[in-house]
Amino acid sequence: MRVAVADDAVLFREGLARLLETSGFDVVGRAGDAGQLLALVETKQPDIAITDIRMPPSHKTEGLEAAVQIRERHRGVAVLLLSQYVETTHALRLLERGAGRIGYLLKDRVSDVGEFTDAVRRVGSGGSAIDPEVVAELVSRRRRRDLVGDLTERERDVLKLMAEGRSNSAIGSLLHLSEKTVEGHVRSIFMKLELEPTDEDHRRVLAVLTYLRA
Amino acid sequence: MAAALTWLASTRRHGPAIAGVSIALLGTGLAAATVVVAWLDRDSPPWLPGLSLGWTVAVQMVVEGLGLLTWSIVAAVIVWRQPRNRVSWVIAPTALLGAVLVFSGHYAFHGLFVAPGSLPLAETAAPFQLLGGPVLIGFSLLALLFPDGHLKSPRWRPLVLLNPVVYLVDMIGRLDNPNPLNVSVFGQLIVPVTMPPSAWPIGALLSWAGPWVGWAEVALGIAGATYLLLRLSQSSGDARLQLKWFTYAVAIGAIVLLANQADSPLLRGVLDANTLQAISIWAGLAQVVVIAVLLPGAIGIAVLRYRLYDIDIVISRTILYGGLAVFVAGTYGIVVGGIGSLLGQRGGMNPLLTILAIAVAAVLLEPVRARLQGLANIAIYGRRTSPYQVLSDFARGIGRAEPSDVLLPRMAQLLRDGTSAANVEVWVRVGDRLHRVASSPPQVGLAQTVGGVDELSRRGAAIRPVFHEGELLGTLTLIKPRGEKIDAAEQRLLDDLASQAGLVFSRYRLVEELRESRTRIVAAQDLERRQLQRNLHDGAQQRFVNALLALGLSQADGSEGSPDLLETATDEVKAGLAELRNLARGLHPALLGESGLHDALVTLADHLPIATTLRAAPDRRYPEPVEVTAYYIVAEALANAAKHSGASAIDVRIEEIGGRLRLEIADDGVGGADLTRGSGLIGLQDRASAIGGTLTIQSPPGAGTVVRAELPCG
Repeated sequence: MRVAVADDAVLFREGLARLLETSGFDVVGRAGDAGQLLALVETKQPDIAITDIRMPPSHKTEGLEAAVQIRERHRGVAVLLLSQYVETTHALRLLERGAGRIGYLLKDRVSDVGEFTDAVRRVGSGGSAIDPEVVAELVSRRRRRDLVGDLTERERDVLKLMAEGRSNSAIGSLLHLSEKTVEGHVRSIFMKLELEPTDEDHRRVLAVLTYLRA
Repeated sequence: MAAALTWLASTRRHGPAIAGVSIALLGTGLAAATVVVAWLDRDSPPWLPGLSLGWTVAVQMVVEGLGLLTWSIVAAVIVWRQPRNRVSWVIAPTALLGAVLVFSGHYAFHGLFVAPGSLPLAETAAPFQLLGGPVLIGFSLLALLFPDGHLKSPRWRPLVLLNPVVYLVDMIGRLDNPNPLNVSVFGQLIVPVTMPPSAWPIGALLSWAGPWVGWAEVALGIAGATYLLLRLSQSSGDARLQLKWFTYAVAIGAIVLLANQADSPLLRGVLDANTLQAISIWAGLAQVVVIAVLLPGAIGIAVLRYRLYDIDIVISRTILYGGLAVFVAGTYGIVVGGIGSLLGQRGGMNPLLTILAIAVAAVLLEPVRARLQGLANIAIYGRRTSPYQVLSDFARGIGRAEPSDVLLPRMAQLLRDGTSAANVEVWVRVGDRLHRVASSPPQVGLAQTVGGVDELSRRGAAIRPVFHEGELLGTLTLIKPRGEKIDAAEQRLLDDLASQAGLVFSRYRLVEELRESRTRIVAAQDLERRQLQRNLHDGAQQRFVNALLALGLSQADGSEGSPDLLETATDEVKAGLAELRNLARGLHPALLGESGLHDALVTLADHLPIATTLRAAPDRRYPEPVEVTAYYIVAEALANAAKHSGASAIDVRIEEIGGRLRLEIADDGVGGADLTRGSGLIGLQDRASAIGGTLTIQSPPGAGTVVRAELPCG
């Protein structure tokens, strides 16, 4: 899988590139700010661009804006945003705009290489990845607590993993359940939350996140 | 025609403009035509008692021409600007009918008398004189609907009906007139034509009402005047000024109407017949001028609000100069006429008496002028509050410790009441500018500041600075109506009030400075939080993420972990901890609480890249707020010196003198630092004043910077 990496902190950028290469990714370019990243994506057309949200010059949301542009101009290029903060609005704004191929993770996740590279692969091949912290925050702060309260303990675990962007089989293996059982839970969750059932991974994530945020 | 135009005005988008222009063109055309015909007929002008032929022609042409022009232009502008105001529905037809009335008279006179047979339809034009009826109806409706097109209250509706009925009855009654017609609205122009005999029977139907109509018109006039005065007395704001203009014109009209009746048996015993006749003639002329020019002018000003606010000056000047004119004329009449007849002189002028009259008038002129001015002021502003009352009212307010935002406007109000000033303003110095904090009459958009007293004096106001403990706190400014000067009594009141105002001003300023300082403190806190967040994000957090990354990599590289990656992770964690430590010290130096100001400052100085000497008592401890404030003042001054001054040495001195801690931080850098611009020093000034201390900065360009602070520590 061909990857472009963008971060203004050299140490982190190089370390990340090295980590990805070690894990079998093809790092096609490195960028220090949003402009460089856009140029890089234009010329190299990677499968996925991994970028920090805050980058020069203003250190606000340059990475996020670059991500929006990439998703609009290059439908085939996925974007994984890295952040040092849990900022749920950013993640959801992006998810609502595009048909999948979006991920949003805390930088801390790089310490678990397996999990991290899984997420990169998932996003790069058309899925979604939302940081568990973001999901946890959404679940904890949502107002329609009554409906989530109707869910069983198990169903709530499945809901969180769904929101992170995991597939049924991934959820099954994480929770040590068969795929059939997971499907049952998912159906039950969608019924209890009165959501439209859907097979497409991205739509499912979006539906769940939108619901949680309401 | 006019009604159609007004209808057009209310329906189409450009209607008002089109209607206005049409009215103006029609009126101007008729005015010009009237003047032309009057000039052609200059050898046989209307008969005006007591005026020579030439004068009559001149006066008639000017008054008629100007009158028609003024009425039609005013009507045109009102229709254009306020098409929905019912005043424009009335004034437009009135003005145009008046123009037709005047012009048709001249037309008929020329065609029937001066050059018989020269003009078509001259005979038809003569009875147009009956249009005087509708014009009077228009005048009466104007008086009722003025200025906004609505009645004072529905109770007066009968007047709206009665006026037209009475004037119509009057007009129809005039149809029954077998005598040659007078076609002049101005004097007498008799044409050899009567009302068409076919119309006589119609008039005869109502001729019985003749005597009653006269009385009814007088009654309606009185009712109208009452209505106008009631409306004026119960109005306020701009409407009051509008009514004042209108009433002013009507009042002048009433006065000249009375003067016009001067040649009456009642007065013949008092003044000689020649004088009375002259008064009567000139008053008659003045009456025409009032109706032709003053009335439409006043209506225009009032409805269009152009120079609306000048009415008080106009009334004041009218009372003053009108009174002076009457006084001078009266003096002359009494001295020359009265004493002359006592001495038995007949006719001719005695030069001695004339000189005597001039002398008397000259001696009495100034006292009379002052009296008249006082009278005018009372007419406009009502009775003044006495200076004693003003001062005691104000003192009572101070005694009750009312808040400044009540007291200051009251002070302005009181001062204006006591001086009949047009405008009084209260300015208070906050920082290095004067702020206008109150004014009478109150002004919208009150916030205004000026750099100094000089700027105020340029506005032509009387200014009285207010001092408290030798310091300028603000000013009271007083602006008299145009052309009036402040007199000694008013000056004294201004001074007395200013001497009491110091306390109120200083209190206001304290509150204001406190408010500003609070705002600054909140802003400074926000800024600090943002900086702290940024420091955490760019510093420690970044380090720890890097460490995590290195640890993750080392896991991926092999199960035993790779030594260089572990070393990177360790270094990053150490660096992150160091950053946190620095940050924590910036927030609140632990050393300060543990070992006191001296030790904390020594550590601070050690971290600086500039040679710093510190002179302070090593083991002396002070109350915590004093130590913390002193620490931050020194820390900020040092940081500024290190960042901006380019200094090579800094000298910090701290000593305790008479229960006050004195700090002095001096560098040898470029200077030019400013409390108000950017630096954190303004926040420190707030901090110092919060514990009763002061902070000053001295920083001439090129000569280093000295920050001095004094904090109470006893």
